[in-house]
Amino acid sequence: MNLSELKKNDKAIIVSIKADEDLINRFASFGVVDDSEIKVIEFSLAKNTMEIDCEGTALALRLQEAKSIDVKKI
Amino acid sequence: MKPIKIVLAGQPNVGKSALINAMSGSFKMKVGNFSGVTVEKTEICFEHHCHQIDMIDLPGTYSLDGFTIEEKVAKDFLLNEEYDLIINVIDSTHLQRNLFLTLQLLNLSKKMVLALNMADEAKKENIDIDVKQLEKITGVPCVLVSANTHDGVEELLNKVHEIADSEKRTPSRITYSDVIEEAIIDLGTFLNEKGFMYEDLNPREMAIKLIKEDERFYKAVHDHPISLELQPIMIESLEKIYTFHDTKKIADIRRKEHSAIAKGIKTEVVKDKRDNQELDLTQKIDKILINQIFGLPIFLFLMWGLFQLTFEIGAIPMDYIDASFSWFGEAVGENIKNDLLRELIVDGIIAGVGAVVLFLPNIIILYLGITLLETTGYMSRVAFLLDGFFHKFGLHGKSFIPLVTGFGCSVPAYMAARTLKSERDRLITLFIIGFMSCGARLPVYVLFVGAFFGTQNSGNILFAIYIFGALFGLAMAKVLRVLVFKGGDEPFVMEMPKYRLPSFKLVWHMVSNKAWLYLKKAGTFILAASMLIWFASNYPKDVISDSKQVQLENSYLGQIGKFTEPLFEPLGFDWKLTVALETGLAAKEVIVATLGILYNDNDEVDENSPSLIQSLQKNIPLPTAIAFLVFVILYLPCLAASIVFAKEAGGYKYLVYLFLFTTSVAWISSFIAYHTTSLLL
Repeated sequence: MNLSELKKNDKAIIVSIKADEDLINRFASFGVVDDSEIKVIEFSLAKNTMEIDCEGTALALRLQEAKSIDVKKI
Repeated sequence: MKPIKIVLAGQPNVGKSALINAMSGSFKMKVGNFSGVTVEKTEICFEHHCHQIDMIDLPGTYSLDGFTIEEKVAKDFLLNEEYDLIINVIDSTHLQRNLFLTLQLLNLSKKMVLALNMADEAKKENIDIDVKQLEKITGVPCVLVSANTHDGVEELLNKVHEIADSEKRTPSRITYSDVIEEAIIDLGTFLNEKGFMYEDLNPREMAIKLIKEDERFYKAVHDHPISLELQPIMIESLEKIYTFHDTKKIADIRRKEHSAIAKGIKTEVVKDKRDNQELDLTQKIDKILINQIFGLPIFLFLMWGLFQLTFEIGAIPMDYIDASFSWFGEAVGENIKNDLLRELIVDGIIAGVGAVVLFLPNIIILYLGITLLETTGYMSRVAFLLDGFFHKFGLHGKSFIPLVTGFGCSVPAYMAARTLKSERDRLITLFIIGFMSCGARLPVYVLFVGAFFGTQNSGNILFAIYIFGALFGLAMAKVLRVLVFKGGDEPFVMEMPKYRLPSFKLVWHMVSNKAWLYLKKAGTFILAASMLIWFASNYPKDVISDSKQVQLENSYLGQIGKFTEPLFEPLGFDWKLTVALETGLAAKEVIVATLGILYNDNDEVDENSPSLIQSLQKNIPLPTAIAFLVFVILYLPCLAASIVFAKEAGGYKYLVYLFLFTTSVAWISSFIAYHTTSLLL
């Protein structure tokens, strides 16, 4: 499953990230890499954007980008 | 003695600017709690222990892979400029993520000190960092420091001296995975045996440069006879690495290695005694502030409250300021015998500058609000809340940051737009920043709202004016997106920094700095403009008529106004309002100064000559006033902002577009406003 399919307060481990080089680098610099643990904090009202916690860093991203991150729920 | 040239590098929100302020003991730099405060590298000089220190603050960069313009600024500087030492500033509470950049910086093979900032916060959160162990692993001196409490700042400065003065640089001691280490040994041994030298690098560092495909180093090797013998060793090593990592992309491999090392270092040096189940303060606050249902209403309420305060509290000292300027004008007037000189000073300078200084309290409150928004970390939350909404208008959630800055002043707002990576997003944002009414437009609003809508609802109307401008800007963004800047989206990935309570000192310095700049502008630019306008409104002297009104109409200013009046006649503006708008192109405060001069020159010999507000009420019909307000909300920002706009957008041709764009939408909207209100009222 991918990150955008998770529910609020779900925890998961990142399995793989499929995106272009720029975005992967961006994710990596935030600590969003394979095997990182993440938790879904909140969705915006229209479910366009989500906030996640990745190893202590709070990040906002669009669901569109979240689709490129494959995760395993824990 | 030669000054020590220091570069501060670090990820956004780690407190680089705050640390510089703490080190130099000054408050010259702007400090904020969202990425993009330091948009250009800033230089600052000071003395410490008789050493001249020249410090360069680079914009925050998450990595050196270059994603936004500011990240490129930082990267170019680090790679190409001359400097003695890098201070890598790190947020102690987010060590692992910050180390990602540190590892890239270590590969630059420069002298470096790690400043583990926010040590006080880490301590409070029960995060223990083994500094000695971190030094051992990285091979670089590390100092725990807090820009907030100034703990460790002196130690950091001493370390900087020690490292800068030392002859030799201690190379990085980072250990990679076995397969990479093997390659490093193979390549390093060969380079060592051959006695190959490059700058001050040791064989290990040279080997790493080969593996990470450093172009400059490749060139150096290529021009050397060893390249022939090196090639087979290189190919063999790379083959092994490729097989192990299952990819041939060095960038991928480097990222994986760095992520693993950062994680490893964290496990080894950080003792996190936090209870993972328990929410920290930021998470608790976020439960409310970014709540799906309450988040947006809370934000709108806060903004509404800010404008209420701006008007309500701002109004209290205004009477006193007004009274003291009138008193001052009279007192000065009585002592000047020369008629002409008295008129110039009292009616020109004091009336013009006074009209602008009057709004200082409003400006201070507005800036206070924006400063708090910036420094507490709430700004990023709003970007999160609004991204979906903004996205519909073809904007990026991050555009919110420059747009809100635009409520203060357009100049920093144009510069803050650099955080946007996509050229299209950036240009759209630049084009609509002007619709976010800046602080200099506030005096015009306060004056007109006070004159035409009474004080009862003024806060609400002021809020409505700002909202109107903002919504108008969004609509225009959509139009630009559809018609001019077509194309795909930039991904939205953004850090939400921890909430931080800014120190009183910091807020005070930031707000007082802005207030001072406003006063300085009133005392210089506005003063000169007031004199010029006074002169243009009094000359040429008309000897035939005694009436001031006739005199004014025949003055230079009157002539310009009359000449251009037909352009604005369909909007219901007379020549005075026309001239006020034209002078407002220089700076928006000048509009008020011009009106102050034009409408205060009254025929009445009455001792209690009516104030500007009463004079406006008497001379301007309501539909005209509304049309005038609409025009002021929408038309071109001041001269200074326009020049910055041209620079940021990439050329003066864009300024021509902006002028045509804003003037036409202002004219059309104003026309509609005038005629609909005329019909309704």
